Amino acid sequence: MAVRRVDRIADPWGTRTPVGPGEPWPARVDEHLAAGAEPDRWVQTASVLHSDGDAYDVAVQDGRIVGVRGRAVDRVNRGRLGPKDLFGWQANASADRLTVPLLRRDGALRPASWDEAMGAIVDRSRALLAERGPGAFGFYTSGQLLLEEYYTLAVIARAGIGTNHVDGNTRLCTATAGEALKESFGCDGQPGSYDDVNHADAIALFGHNVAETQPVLWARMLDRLEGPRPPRLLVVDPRRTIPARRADVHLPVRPGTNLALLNALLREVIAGGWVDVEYVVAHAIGFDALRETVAPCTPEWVARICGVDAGAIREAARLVGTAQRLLCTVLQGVYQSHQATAAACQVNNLAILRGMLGRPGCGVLQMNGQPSAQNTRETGANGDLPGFRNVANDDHVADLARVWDVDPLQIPHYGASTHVMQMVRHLEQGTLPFFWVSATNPLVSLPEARRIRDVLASEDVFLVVQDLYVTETAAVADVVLPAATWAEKTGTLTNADRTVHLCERAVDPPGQARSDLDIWLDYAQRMGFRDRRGGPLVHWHDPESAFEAFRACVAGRPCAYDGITYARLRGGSGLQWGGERLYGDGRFPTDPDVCETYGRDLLTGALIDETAYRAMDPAGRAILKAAEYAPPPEAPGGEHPLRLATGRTLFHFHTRTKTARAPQLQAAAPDVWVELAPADARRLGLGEGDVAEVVSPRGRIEARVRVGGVREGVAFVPFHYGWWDRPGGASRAANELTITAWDPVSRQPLFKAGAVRVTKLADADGRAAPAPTNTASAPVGADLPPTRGGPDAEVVETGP
Amino acid sequence: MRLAAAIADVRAAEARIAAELDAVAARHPGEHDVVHVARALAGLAEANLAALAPHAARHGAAGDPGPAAGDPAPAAPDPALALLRDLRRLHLRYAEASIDWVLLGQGAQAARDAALLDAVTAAHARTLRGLAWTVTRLKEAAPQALTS
Repeated sequence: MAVRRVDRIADPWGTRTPVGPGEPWPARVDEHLAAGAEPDRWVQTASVLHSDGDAYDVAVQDGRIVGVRGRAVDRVNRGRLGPKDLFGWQANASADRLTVPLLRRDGALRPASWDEAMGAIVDRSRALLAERGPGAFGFYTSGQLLLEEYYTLAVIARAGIGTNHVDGNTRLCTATAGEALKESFGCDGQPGSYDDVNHADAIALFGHNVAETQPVLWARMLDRLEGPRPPRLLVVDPRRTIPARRADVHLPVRPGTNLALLNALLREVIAGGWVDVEYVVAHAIGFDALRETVAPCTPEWVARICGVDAGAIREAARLVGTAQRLLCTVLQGVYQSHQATAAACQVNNLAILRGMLGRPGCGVLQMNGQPSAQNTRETGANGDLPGFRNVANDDHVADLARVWDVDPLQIPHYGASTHVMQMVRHLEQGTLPFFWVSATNPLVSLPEARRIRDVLASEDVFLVVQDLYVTETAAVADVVLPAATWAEKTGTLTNADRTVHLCERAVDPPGQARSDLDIWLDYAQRMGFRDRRGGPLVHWHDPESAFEAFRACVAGRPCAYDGITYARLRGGSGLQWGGERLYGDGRFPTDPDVCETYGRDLLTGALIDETAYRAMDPAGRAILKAAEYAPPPEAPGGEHPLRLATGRTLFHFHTRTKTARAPQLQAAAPDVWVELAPADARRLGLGEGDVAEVVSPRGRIEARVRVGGVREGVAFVPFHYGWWDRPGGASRAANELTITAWDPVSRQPLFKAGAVRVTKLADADGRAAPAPTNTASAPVGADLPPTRGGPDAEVVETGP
Repeated sequence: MRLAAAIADVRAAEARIAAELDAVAARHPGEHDVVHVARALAGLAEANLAALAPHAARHGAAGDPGPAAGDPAPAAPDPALALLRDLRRLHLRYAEASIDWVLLGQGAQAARDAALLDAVTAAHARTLRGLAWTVTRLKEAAPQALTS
């Protein structure tokens, strides 16, 4: 065993431990402790600042968190941690944590007791239920709470209040993953496993900047790339990301054209004779319609749409067409772009056509953006019913009503749950006077920020916010509830490859802060929600009993948590529900009585009804859903000649509520920037570090320019930066610029669409853009000091 | 042969759909999905008109009907109900076009005009996608509009 000290801001992925195909990934334990710390105990936990699900232990000394250490035993990370896990824990002890409830009185938020705060919420709830009915209530939650909390919220909202207005900010990150899986395989559930990285001979990353969104998963891929017999790598991304630099083929497509590209790839795979005909005949339907749809999509035609070379498209098709063990992954480059679900489904189609499912190295990872996004989908805290039940299937609704012991009519099932952008519309129209936001910051994270500010700050809306700090959203709330966070409460969360982890309470929350679970249990108790026999609707009282109630709710469903208990989760590795991989037998949950959806038209979102679905006779076969390319909204041109793409970057998460309060992370990317291609920058008279104005038809921001590796014609702006730590300054939120538009199937907003112009405001004056140099944001043509963390960012790595 | 009359009917119906999609999108700029999907559906209506053009010429149907005018806005007390009424009428426009495609398809079959029949089959499927979308969107909008 070697012990190394590594600056993990400078080297975010750590030291290589190369592996060959089929070999187990060696452990490498990453540890970071505060200077002089001597922990008196270690407490088990998992990541909450990304979706990889890395397992680690929290070091506790005198009741405070003093560091973290990866868990070597865990299947996901084998001891490794990414920068946000290594340093993000410091945000827990931030001096500006909320410690008491706040209540708006005489126009200002003032400290209040829990009784006063909850009393205000309950009074308003009772009055509105009586006057306006359940449709007056909207609940908007997160992708960062715990399974037990989501499930409790889902029961309260859907059966207690009985509203259909329930969604999570997972709408912004993972909605398309869930919808694409449902459309192709009948039901949500990740087919693949991270272990597929260790077996694949080809990896294709579609809009997935894995090096920044899941650094430890990228470390796993890097170890394959630097080991014997490495996999070939295809990267589709308009930016020259770290993975793109390592790719055999990099296709920097124009944002919004993924579907065109994928249709061409499928056309070439079919034309090349690379279809696993036996597999498709036995295990899929819809091949003829798919072939007909993609037939006109020649590489030359698509090359013009996507702005890439036709030869490179052919090369990419050969790469995925001739692979023996192909792993495809998908993330926001697809999910937050035009025709999101349609494009994500074509990646599923690629795996189906090639018979690349359910075997080692053969898989699809429709990734998640957040640590517990998967749980919102399983528990019904987003747009789905709990347990992957089909809202259009009356038997499924009746079964859920049986579990909750309520009348089926008490559970709204006249259609899919109201997605958040539609809730915003209801808020705007005054039909949603009660809006409860938990662990998310919509004022900064939803598109067209000016509109969202107007809507949520309106006096007609009773806004409840539970959070750790006074976020931009909390600042305009009527009631602010101080929440306990990760390591201050116990519960589970499930990552993108279905691995369930337990997070234990390691320290006390500050002041009077309470866990989100306790807040909702209190609300349910005060509201007196009852089941049909007169017992309490929410009949659990702590995390473990909530987990067991959830397990009972999903028993017999495709996401059954059979055999997964707190006892088994303690001490060892995280556990996958459904086993290592799904669909190894080529049988899919598409049977009409089992499936989670009857599907939608991928172009319009029109629902397919049960009769039409039954007529397709899927009978346990996967569904090859086809869609034709259509141009994205708001084409660049005229006054707004550049296409805007917003996105996540390595050192921050969401709106920086936690990562800005971790000094190493904040210093690595302290302020917003706009990335331009060298040719665009030249044309606009802009150089590295110049201050520019970025303007769309909806708003403007100011940002320094990073001349970088983004494709020509595109302006990239990171979406992390709001205004809580910059009072009085000009807004720098990327969402000042974004367009209000969403995918018709997944209803995921299009953050990588809309047009902008960039003009110079001031010279750089010797300063560079506040962007990292060791990520996709690396400078082109400028020799800048490299991003470093210094002594405070030194991490002890123990490995081979 | 009276196929020319049936062709003229279906062309007029599709042109009305295209006009109505534009009108509905213009009247409801705050319903962002309606605006965007209407654009995609207008593309399907245009594809239908284009697919029919060679057959119209062949069967001596009157020249291109040209752009139709959208219907005037239906009376409604508030924007949510106005959306319901607009989408409801759009639905009826689609239903009208759908049955016109059925009639033309029957005629094409009886006339053993295989090329026309193929065009009708493909076009009718596109019209049905619009019809299905109006049902979906109406079902989504109705609960809040009718109970709030």
